[in-house]
Amino acid sequence: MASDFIINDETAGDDLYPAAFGRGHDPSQVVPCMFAPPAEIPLVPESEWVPRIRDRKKYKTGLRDLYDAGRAGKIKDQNGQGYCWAYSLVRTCEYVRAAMGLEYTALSAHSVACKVKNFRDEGGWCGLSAQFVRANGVAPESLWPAKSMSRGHDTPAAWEEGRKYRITEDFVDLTRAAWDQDLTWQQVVSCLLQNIPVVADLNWWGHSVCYVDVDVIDGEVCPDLDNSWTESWGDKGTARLQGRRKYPDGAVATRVLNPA
Amino acid sequence: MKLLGGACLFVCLFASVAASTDPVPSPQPVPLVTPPAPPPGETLPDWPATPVVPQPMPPQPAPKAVANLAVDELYVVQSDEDVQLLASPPGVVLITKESGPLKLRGKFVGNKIVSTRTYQKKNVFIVERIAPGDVELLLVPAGKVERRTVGDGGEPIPPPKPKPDDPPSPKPPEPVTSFRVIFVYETGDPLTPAMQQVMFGEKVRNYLDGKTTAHPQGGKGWRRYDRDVDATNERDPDLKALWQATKPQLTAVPCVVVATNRKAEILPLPADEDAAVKLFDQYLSGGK
Repeated sequence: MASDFIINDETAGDDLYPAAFGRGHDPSQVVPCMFAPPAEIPLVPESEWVPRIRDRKKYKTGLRDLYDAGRAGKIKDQNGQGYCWAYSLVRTCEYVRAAMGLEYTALSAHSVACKVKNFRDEGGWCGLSAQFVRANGVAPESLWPAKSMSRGHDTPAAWEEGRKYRITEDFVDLTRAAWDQDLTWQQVVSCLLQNIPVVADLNWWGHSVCYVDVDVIDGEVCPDLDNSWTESWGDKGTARLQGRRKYPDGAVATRVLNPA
Repeated sequence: MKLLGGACLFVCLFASVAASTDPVPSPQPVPLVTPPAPPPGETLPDWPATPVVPQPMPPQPAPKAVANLAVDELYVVQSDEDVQLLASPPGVVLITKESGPLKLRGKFVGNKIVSTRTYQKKNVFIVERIAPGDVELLLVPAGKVERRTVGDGGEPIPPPKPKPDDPPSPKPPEPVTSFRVIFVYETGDPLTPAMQQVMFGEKVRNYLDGKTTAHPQGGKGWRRYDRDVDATNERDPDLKALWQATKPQLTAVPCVVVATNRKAEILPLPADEDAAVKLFDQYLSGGK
């Protein structure tokens, strides 16, 4: 079921922008990336978007339907820290696993953010967390508990297990830095229609979220997102974006993890 | 005990025996006219044949005693005369001719216990049932025909034992003890709505959740894999083995791997969710 919480161009930004959640920009952290460029995303013609969305609702084929069926775990909680860019990316990993039919395993976004930022509470970008998870994976919350900043969890055992959850395929622009990854709106919708979740960095919000699915509001195709501010936010932690606010300023699409 | 037909065959046999017998009760059959043998070195001339005039047949006696012959019983006919024993229709009984005196042990017709009997006469015919149905036995001695009708008593006849050269009969479907499914696709290639309906739709999802063989660590017994995934760390060892066995065999995707018991097949993606459920049902019922 699509979220009842809609953010559109008339929604006041200050109400949605807790200062601690800013994603921040650090142009010094430029790391090359190695995966399929967004140009290879098979585009779904815009004329097919609305009919396809109706079809997805009819047969319940979308990732949101998997979430509603209890196959994708719960909405995460970044605990008021500036790790949204890791939470959004790790959430796409959980959705890819749900799409593969794997049992839900809670993955620790804090393990990614703590390692990337050396346990400092700092903002980042989805391209940065994606780069880390491609190389190192993500520790499961069974070995690195949610919201934990403890270095005691940073063990070889945790990362040996974490490597099983590496991203093996995604859509990344090889010509851009980690902080500059982006997808066009057409690419974003095409991915979502193919059940490929998208990490969306949104400058107007200073935030990064996980685009899970697409929906139609007043004839407009809109993303249906999972936030990482617990289920007390929005519509049980989810929302839909309408108007110009839906266009990401940075984006990565997570396609494949190996089964584990 | 039943009297049966088979009169046409009987008439023909009788006619041929009668024609070669002398003396024959009236009316006398007309002998065939045959050309004289040509002298040595000469060819046979084109001699017109004399037509055989059909003669009315005398009324035939009704068949005598009738017996029910079970499949494990012996029906024995003996005679000191040179006789033939024929069966009509063929294929119902097996007739074996032996020379007497002869001692036989078995279950004889009309006697439900095993016993030993001695047959003293020169010719002994042993009749055994090999197929269900009634049969007429024709005893053809010189100059006369005796008939016996042998029924099957309505008892079920077990199927004949297969001969060594017979092809093996089809086995009944093996019970399905494990059922696993892997949808395979390329995440970089577009899926049509129909493909998504099959691979991600609620109907197929719920069906497979309920029907596939789950593993304690691996969850449900079905997956959707990108064709490039490495299942080294797959928690379900059976799905891991299935993927490692079938991944090198994959050609076109999307497709579906269906495994029942220890046998797997790679199939094209069904057209829609109903076709998918129907396909899986066939495998689950052992019909595939």
